[in-house]
Amino acid sequence: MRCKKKILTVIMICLVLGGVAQARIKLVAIPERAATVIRLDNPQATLIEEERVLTLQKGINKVDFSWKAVSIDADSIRLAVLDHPDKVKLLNVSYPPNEAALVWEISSDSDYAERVRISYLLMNIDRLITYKAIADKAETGINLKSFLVLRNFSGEDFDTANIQLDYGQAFERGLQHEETKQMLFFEAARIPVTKVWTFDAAKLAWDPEQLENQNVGIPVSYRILNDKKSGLGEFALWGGKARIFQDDGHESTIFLGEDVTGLVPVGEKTELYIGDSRDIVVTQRKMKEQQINIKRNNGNSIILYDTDEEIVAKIENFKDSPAVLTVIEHIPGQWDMEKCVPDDYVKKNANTLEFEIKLPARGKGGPAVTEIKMQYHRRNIRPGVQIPDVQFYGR
Amino acid sequence: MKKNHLTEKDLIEYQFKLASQEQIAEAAEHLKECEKCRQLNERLAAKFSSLELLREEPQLSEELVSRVLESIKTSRQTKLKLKTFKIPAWIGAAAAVLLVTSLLVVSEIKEQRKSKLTEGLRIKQPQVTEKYAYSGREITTERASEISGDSKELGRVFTVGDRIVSSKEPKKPPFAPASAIELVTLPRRENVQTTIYNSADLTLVRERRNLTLKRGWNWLQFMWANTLIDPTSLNLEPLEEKGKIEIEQLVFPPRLKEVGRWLIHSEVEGQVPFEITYFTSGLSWRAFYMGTLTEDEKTMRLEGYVRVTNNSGEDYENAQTRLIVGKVHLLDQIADLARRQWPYGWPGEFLPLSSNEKGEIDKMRGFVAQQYYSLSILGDELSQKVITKEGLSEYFLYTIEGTETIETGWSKRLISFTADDVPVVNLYKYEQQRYGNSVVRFLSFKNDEKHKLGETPIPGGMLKVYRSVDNTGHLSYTGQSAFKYIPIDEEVELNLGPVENVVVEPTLMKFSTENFKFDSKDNIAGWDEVRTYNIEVRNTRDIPVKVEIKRNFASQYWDITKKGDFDSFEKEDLDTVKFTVELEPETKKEFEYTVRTYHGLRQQDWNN
Repeated sequence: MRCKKKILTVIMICLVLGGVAQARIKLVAIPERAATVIRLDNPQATLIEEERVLTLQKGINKVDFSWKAVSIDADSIRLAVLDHPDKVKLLNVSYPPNEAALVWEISSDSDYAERVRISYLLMNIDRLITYKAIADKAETGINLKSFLVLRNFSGEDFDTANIQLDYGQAFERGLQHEETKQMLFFEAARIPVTKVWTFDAAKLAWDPEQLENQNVGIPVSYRILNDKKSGLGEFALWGGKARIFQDDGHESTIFLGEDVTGLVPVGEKTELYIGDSRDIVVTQRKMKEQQINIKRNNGNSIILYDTDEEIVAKIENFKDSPAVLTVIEHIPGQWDMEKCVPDDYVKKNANTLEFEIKLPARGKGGPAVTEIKMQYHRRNIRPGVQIPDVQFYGR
Repeated sequence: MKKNHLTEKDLIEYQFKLASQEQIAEAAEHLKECEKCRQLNERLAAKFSSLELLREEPQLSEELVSRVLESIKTSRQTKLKLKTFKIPAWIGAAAAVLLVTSLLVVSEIKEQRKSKLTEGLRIKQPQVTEKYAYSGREITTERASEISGDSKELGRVFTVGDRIVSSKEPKKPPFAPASAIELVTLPRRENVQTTIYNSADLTLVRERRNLTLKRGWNWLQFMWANTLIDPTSLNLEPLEEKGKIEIEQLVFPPRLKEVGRWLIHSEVEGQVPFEITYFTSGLSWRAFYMGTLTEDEKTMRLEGYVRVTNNSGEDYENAQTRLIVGKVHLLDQIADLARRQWPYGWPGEFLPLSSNEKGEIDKMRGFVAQQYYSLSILGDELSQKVITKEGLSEYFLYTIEGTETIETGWSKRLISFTADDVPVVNLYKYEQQRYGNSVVRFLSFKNDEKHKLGETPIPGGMLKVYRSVDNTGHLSYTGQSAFKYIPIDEEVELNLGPVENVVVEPTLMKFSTENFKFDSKDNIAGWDEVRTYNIEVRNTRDIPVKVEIKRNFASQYWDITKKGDFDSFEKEDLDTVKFTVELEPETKKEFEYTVRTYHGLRQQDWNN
């Protein structure tokens, strides 16, 4: 059987007599731990607040706080006097050499059984958030469950503690060392989702025909808004792993995919990448690239030119349902669009264009085929001069 | 000598050394001299020795229960004391086990003992319970195999009988009563469904089991030793009485491996169907195909198969088997999650794989892969079960008719579809930059109705192609090709490798440089290169063929003129053109093209 506990934080008090304060006299009393709060509101560090009753005597008291087999950030340790804050004063804090400990020097104007709150950052205890979503068959809405996972590898057993997150009421749980607990955090039904397909020309292969037996999967995501309209919006959604399933219409589900989301503040959206579609095929080719408006120096070297370029992207939808494909194109440097079909792209930044292409479902005659054709000039290109923020890519 | 006779309680404490050293010494001294107490002690000893034979739970009197509860409390204090004096902890635990068990065999009977007994169990000290947790696990496993009669069934679920009566239901959940392990029952699997993915080592398992709940708090223990289950995926849902049953938490207890305990709060009592879902690694499937060309190679019989392999460590008996075609996005490998020391890892830790461990896992994967192939002969040959197919999201779901039993280590082959007389095109390609000087043979068809296909996408796999060579069914092996996932209506091109019976010979017939330009220092600053190629295409086969010839130019500044016997011409992209030639059996065609490429200053004169 395991030892009762690892040696835990121990507080010892000693009375300092006659001004002889240099000796660290140990073991006068071990105050029992009273209310303990584990604050998990900061994902980077966990704050423990525990209340203890110190038996203080009139005069100078030394309180020794030491710990073993746990990892405490010594600089984070704080002491707050609760009952007689105006009469019991913390005079100084000192760290004994080569020890995981510190010593508080406390003055008291009388004998008190004083309640104090000690707080410190304890390592290796934290929380995770995970999500489980089940999409309906039409993929228009999801039922969302969020789970809180408490992990305690701190070396300390908390038989009972109030666990406080960054919102909501504190709740009481025991959490033993090396224990992991998962519990339902919240659930919300019928949250609307938008299914998004995205082809980013900077990330995906342009011409699937050039690849040997490989599909170019078009990433598929679910877009979820953290707002009232969606049945959410009460608080920020914490970041965590999300696993998405779909109702298969046979009283069962299939697993669609998983992604990790960052923090989603109220009013913001998150996109969860679930997998790739291989039923939408984009074949993008550069059909023309010609230097024009060439300027040369006296040595006849080209010092400045423009280009005349044409890119054609053929999009085939083999799905039996329509889809909206977001196509992201990149044109480096300075450029002018000469002709673009369709022309209702959104310029996301100086070098990025975003098209929303509505793809009809596959018909009787085969896949629905749509085309994007861009004819543009890149301007004032100086040979050998790199554009720092955008790299050239593709063919 | 102690004046008064020893009570039953004193004797129990004496026998199991629950009293202090002094009390034990005192009792021993008294026994030496007191015949009456000695006899009572012997009778008690006899009762304890018969404990093992008793299976039925006896009923206890209230009086006895109270006495025993008192004993437990006393023993708790004693244990604390023992610990303080550094007596080995197991002695205390063993004594507690015996003491608790002793409560069950004393003869007096009454109905209401259960709740009190549970209360007695609940107030055990944590340190003792930990010991129970270890020993309890072994006991549980043993009991489970007794009950099920199937030692291979893993992923065991136990209801740990938590006999709390609602009138005294505590607001707080009880500590996981591992000490109540002797009250365990093993709910049967009512049915199992496996949904196996081919793009990742991932299977979604769904089990339905009927659990018997008590009103109030219930603990349910799930164990999955020697399997590849991802504990973070464990999920439990009641299928009925949903508003009245709450899954309060899932606890992965400290120091226990591959154990999870659900704490369930129930407002109902009795049997409730539950569904447990989880991910496991080790089950896989893949598609493969056999094509048999007719003698004239105009049509092909195409047979699709799936092979399901179970290396999960778990036998899935009579499981509804479903296969998913699609590329699922995973953040972690399920096998890695299954091998984690702690289900959700350690704070600040990512996947705990050292390079050595990775090496080991890679080796294991290699081993699994080897098994995979070597087991191909073990599958049921061509079981004629129907596989229904339907699209869901970006995936295709294949559901195999009925249920399948696939024991761990085995694979099973099932026929997925058969299509006769699929029209095929014998396509040959020539592209120096990609294939060198060889002509590469492709077999082309479309996944649509015209080609007797088009019902569902075709999952990627390997196709072995044979050709009928005579009317007696003899075959010739033509070659094999891996191919990618083919959506409905997409054309397939199967690369069967280089051939020598269709020949493409490009010959440079003329080369010249022209239109030189000079800079101010009279150096050459621009010129044209003109090449004339003759392309001869020969079909030495006894069937018609189609040949695609692609030519790449090293510049995007070019003009072309062409003449001769070709069927179509197409600009593929800025520096590639494609000629298509169709040839009857044992014929040849010739054509010619002249390409002018512009270099240096001459590029400014190019206008296309």
